[in-house]
Amino acid sequence: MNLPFDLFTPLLLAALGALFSERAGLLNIALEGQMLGGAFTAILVQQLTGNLALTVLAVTSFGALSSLVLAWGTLKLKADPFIAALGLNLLVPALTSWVSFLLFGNLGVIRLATNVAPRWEGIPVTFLLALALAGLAHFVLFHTSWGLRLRSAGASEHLMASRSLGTRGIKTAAVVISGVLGAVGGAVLALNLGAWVQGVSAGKGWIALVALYLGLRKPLPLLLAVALLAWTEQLSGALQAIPELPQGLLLGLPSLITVVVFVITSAAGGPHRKSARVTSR
Amino acid sequence: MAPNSPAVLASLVRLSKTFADNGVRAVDEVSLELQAGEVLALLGENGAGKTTLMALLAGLEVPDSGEVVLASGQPPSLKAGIALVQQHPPFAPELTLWEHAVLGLPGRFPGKKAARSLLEASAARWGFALNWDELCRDAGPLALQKATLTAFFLHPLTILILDEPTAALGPAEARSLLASVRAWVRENHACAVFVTHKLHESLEWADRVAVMRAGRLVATTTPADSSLEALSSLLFPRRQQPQVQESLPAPAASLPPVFMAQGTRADFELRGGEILGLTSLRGEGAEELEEELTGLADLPEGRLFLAGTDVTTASIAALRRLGLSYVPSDRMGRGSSPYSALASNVIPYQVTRLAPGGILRSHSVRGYFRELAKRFSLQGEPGQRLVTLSGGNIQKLIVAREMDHGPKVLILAEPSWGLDLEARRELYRLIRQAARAGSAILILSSEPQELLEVCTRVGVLREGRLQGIRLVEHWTSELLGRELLGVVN
Amino acid sequence: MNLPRAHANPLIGLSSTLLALAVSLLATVVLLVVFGSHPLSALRSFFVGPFSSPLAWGNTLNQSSLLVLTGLAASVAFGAGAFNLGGEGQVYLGGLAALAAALFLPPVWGALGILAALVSGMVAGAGLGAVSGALKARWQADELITTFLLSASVVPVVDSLITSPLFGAAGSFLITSRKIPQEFWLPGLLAPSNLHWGALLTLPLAVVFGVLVNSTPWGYRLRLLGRNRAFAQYTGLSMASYSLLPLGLSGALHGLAGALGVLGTQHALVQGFSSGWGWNGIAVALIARTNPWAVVPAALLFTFLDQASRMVVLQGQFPFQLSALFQAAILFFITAQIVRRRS
Repeated sequence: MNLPFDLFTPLLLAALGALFSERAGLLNIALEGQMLGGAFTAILVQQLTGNLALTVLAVTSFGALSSLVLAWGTLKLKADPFIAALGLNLLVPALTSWVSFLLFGNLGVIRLATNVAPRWEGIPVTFLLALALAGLAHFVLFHTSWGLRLRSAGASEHLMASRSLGTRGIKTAAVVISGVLGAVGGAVLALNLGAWVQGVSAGKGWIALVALYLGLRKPLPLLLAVALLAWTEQLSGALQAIPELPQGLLLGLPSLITVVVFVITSAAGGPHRKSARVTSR
Repeated sequence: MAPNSPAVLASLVRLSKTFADNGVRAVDEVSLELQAGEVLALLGENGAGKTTLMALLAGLEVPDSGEVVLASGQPPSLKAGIALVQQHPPFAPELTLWEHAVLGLPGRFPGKKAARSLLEASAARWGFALNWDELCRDAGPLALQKATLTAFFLHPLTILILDEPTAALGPAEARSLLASVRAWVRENHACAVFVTHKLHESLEWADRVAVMRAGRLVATTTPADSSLEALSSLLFPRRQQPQVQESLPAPAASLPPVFMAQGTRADFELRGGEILGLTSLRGEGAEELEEELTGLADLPEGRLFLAGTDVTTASIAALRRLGLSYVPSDRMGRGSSPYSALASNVIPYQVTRLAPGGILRSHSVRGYFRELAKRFSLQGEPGQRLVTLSGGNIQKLIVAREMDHGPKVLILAEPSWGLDLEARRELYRLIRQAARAGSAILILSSEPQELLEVCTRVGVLREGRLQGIRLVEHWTSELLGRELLGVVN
Repeated sequence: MNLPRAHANPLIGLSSTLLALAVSLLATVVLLVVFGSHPLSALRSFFVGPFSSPLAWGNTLNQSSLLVLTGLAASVAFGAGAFNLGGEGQVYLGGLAALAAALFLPPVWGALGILAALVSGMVAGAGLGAVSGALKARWQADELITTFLLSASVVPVVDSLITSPLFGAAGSFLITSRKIPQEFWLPGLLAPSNLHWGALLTLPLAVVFGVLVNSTPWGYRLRLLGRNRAFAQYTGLSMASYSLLPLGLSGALHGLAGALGVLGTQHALVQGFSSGWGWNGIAVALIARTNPWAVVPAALLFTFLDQASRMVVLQGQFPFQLSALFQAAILFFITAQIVRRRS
């Protein structure tokens, strides 16, 4: 089966975003909202200006800004990162439909006239860029002082303090990277589709979090996890073309398969398991 | 500079620090000068404020008033040449030791190979041999402490602070570490401060000894002008009499053992009224044994019997029903709920009794707490949160809870960690009292001395296996020390 | 497990809660004034609208009764240190089960049938919640992820069942199931609003839950679990059953909410009706700081704000989705320590 680029790329970008934030100890639960916002911003700016560079700039700014809001709430106001991010996830769809109403007078669909996703030898350029980003993420996280600091900041503020290092700056940076990657992931999703549809991210921000744990919180295994999840979704889509099969079950299939895979990795003692020795008897 | 007035590296000027969460004034108007070329020992009981004072000196805590003035004029920090090696250094579980060590090092990222050769060179000075590729999570506190010390020597240091550096070391290793520290201080005209409980260590290795009590610096002296007796009376002004050991009657051998391990790596038989102590160096299997004997982890081999019942695979609840009580080494993580009220912390085994008709009456809960507090002289009000108590009072509360229903077997792991002398004595008194009342008691401790003081039989755990149990009369400190290190003569 | 947790100890202080509410309210009012077409009448609709008629009153009360249930559901899980993000699916599945009972039980059963339908809603919700609990107990799978994903996989299944031959209304253009027989309707109150007797049931339920959680041995153990899991395990609590219990209970309450929605309000299962219920329940639980007693006023307040903004939108004084904006603001600020304790 061919790799479904259109599903793979956005998910990989978001999962890499999740990786940076998780490693910095501030798991970004707002990725879902940021993907949605990125998708909307991309179509909006592309529609209004027709300029891809401007679109990229706008999407990146959206990702960075929304992350700065999250960082402000959690690092400065000490809000619970999880609950505050749920707030952002609620905010984005409301904002998108509002802006869409103000500008276009409707809540529904914005369709682009032209397909702007560039390809190289038939392969989407975004896919190649995302792969390169995975490699870059591996290098940055595991082979630079900055990556070491980021991982340390995520694990122990006291450790950082004992080396005269602060954590707020690096955590903010990690969340900003995460938000930018999530927003760009959403933009790729929408630009591939050539349209904005409400709820276009359809839980991909959450699936990215699952991919993160499935991928053992490391960039290279993450590629495999994302590929697996993308294939699952493709399979479910392909099966929907067969009218004899119950459609509801098929729509629920990607989430269900994700749960099953998540449970299997948990059972195999994945990294989210605290102590292997303590039994549950 | 005159040869007789050594340079002052740092001045602590009227430092004070009060902690907001418990309102304790940990450091109270302390002034002290640290001189180039000296080793300073800082003595004090638990809660005297030593650790806080050192954190202030290292710049890890900010004083409420007063200041730390360095010769360089910089604010105190690692960057300014002050390093604090904590007893349990903070670490990131998923970093390797080499990553742990090079974190925060200025300049280019060294990479694995370069880092290792750098670190091995630095560790050689201390005689440390470490596996730098090991994860911090797996390394254990001693290796972490060594790695941290090595790491700090990659930075240009002028002041090295060691918090209880020898607590986890055998006598030989402790000597070699302190000798290396002294050599480094002399060579570099630097300064080292070590915090310790051990009076003889401070007399042997320090140039000056500072004594803290209740947040205040009560004396600074030199080993030449002092003695064990003098230091101990500085620490405990109302000279406390050494405890007279009342001997416990030996249980009749004909009694059936109430707690018994068979075919395990640490077999024993324990009868009512007995106090068995097992000691080991850290990381030699005591933590695992603690969990296996109390039902928190599966026993890898052999069988366990409690009151005649095979409890090898019994649940924790079943063990408790059969009369097992347990005071864990991890008091805040496992032994209590720090952010709950004191009353909530003492009633887990009493809730059904305190709730006639299924409704928990708050007056009976408070009443139970007060009654327990009276019997065991506990501190605090029932509604007060546990974290607001001192370490010794928290431990006493846990012990009281576990002893209250007259357990058949009582397991205590590291019962006196972090307790001062007074609190220890109180604890030992309670343990003996329980033994006299017929409980069988098992103590797991990394402090052999305390087992000699309180137990009727003592055994040594080495490389995860029990090396034989003897009556306490047949042990001496030296024998125990040798058995711990595996030095057979 | 490296997932972040809400405070196991959510005693964040009443002042923070009030401030979060004030900030959210202020933001909403500012939006109304700046973007509303007629600021003054918009403000009047907002503040007076929910009390303007028995219809409005009734709807507000009905809505808040359901929120009491989902708020209790979220707070039971929170209090025991578990996260239930599957509220939406559990409500939906509970609604489906109640629908099935009401459609296929003989109408002559009457009140007994209503009871059976409510119970089947609870059982269905509880089952879905308990699956996550079991996955956690058996394989250490984090319930934060599994509740969400299980809910996400149940929703499309229910969606498609609603319109299936089994439940669907032939020839209807609405995406809804058949109506249930009138014998199973919960009797109405304050007509023409959609308030019904079932809504009143939630009040004693909140009281019972308050007693259960705050003053029984069982509630004590649940709270212990929420405060320090390792300590709870050490005292002998069975981790397996105490993983199952809070999530199962939370699911049951969600399921009951779904069943009440079907039997009391819609008398059918409308596609997507449970959308947002899980999040709102979480918001209510946080406003109530997971205390069951406080869930009732928190739910009332939340519903008032929600209905008020719907009012404004309905009367064309504001584009839409105003309620989502302040819900977002509440969630964002509710755990923030806006008022700093002196350190």
